[in-house]
Amino acid sequence: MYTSRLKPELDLKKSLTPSEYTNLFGDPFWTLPGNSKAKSIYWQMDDKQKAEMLKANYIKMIEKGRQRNWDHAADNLQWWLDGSGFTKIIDFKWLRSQREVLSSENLNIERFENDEDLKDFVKEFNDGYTDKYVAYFVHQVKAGIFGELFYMSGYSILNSRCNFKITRKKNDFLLSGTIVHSWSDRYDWHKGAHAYIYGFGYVGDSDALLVEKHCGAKPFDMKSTWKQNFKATFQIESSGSLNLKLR
Amino acid sequence: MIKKIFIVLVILIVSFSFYYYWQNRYVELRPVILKEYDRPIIFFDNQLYKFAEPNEVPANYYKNIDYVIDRSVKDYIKRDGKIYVRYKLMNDLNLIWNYTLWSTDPEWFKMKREMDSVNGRDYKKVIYYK
Repeated sequence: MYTSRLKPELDLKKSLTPSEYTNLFGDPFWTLPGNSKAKSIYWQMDDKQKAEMLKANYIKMIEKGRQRNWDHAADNLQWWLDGSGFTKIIDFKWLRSQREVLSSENLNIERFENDEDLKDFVKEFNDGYTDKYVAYFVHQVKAGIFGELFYMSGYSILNSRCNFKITRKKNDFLLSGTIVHSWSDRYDWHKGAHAYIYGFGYVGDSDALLVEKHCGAKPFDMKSTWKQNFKATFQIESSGSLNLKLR
Repeated sequence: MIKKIFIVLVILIVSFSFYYYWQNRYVELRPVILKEYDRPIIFFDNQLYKFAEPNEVPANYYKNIDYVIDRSVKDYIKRDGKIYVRYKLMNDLNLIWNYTLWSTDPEWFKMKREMDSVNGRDYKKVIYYK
């Protein structure tokens, strides 16, 4: 009688062709469902076998992402699979091309324009007086499920920190300085969370955690920073508000 | 016809008055934190945040929030040790989350202390991070 513990593992994998084995998820980008036989075999596997099969499917997903020109999402998945755990610097130009990031950036800038603290501060200025205004606002960036940002990051944080020099010249206020935007997120998975992938349904983050446990994948931090320079002139309106426009 | 116009006008005035009242009534300020990551489909920004439960309130929040609000909010009421702000402000959970973050960030207090003196005099009460 054959008693090797490896026997059922080998049989399970061998019962699928290579193309079936790497077609667990289908093609979410083109809404093609995954292979039903692969799914049924997957559920019979033990955790280590599942992790190996998932890894093979993630590699396939990277390939499909690149075909769609979603290189940032593909790069991150590869970085996670490689398991170095090193912080990844994300190209800020690409980030700013994502409407969700730009929308958060604009919202933070708007917060500076309407900051009550800034209003109270400049009202105290005598003619010719110069001082420094510093503040920060943070916004959580919400990635839409149909965009690359969702696959690349999910939800992230944008911290915008201003450093303005303001001078009063009679009724005008001259502002110059910078806003430094720091974007950050951690590429990790959360037990109990899930993502919907067409054709496969909800893929649990616990699956990805299996790949971390058995295949050496590792979460990592992502960062990006960019700086904007500003020069503006504003006044205090009769209502007491500032007509400051930074965009 | 005039009666119909009158009724429509009354409905509009009542609706607007109710909306104005609702947005401007004072509600208690509560600390806001990020929701745990469960990746649902999000329609509104406010869905990303939640009011902190008593055991989730960041340390030093209650000690420092007075100063944060004094610097950042024009209309607020302090009664029986509680802070009340307009509903329209409280409904902006991202901004309230920022206030919550600031109240627990010594760096923010340091930044603001540098702005406390204008024209050589203190125009804001200097409070140090507790």
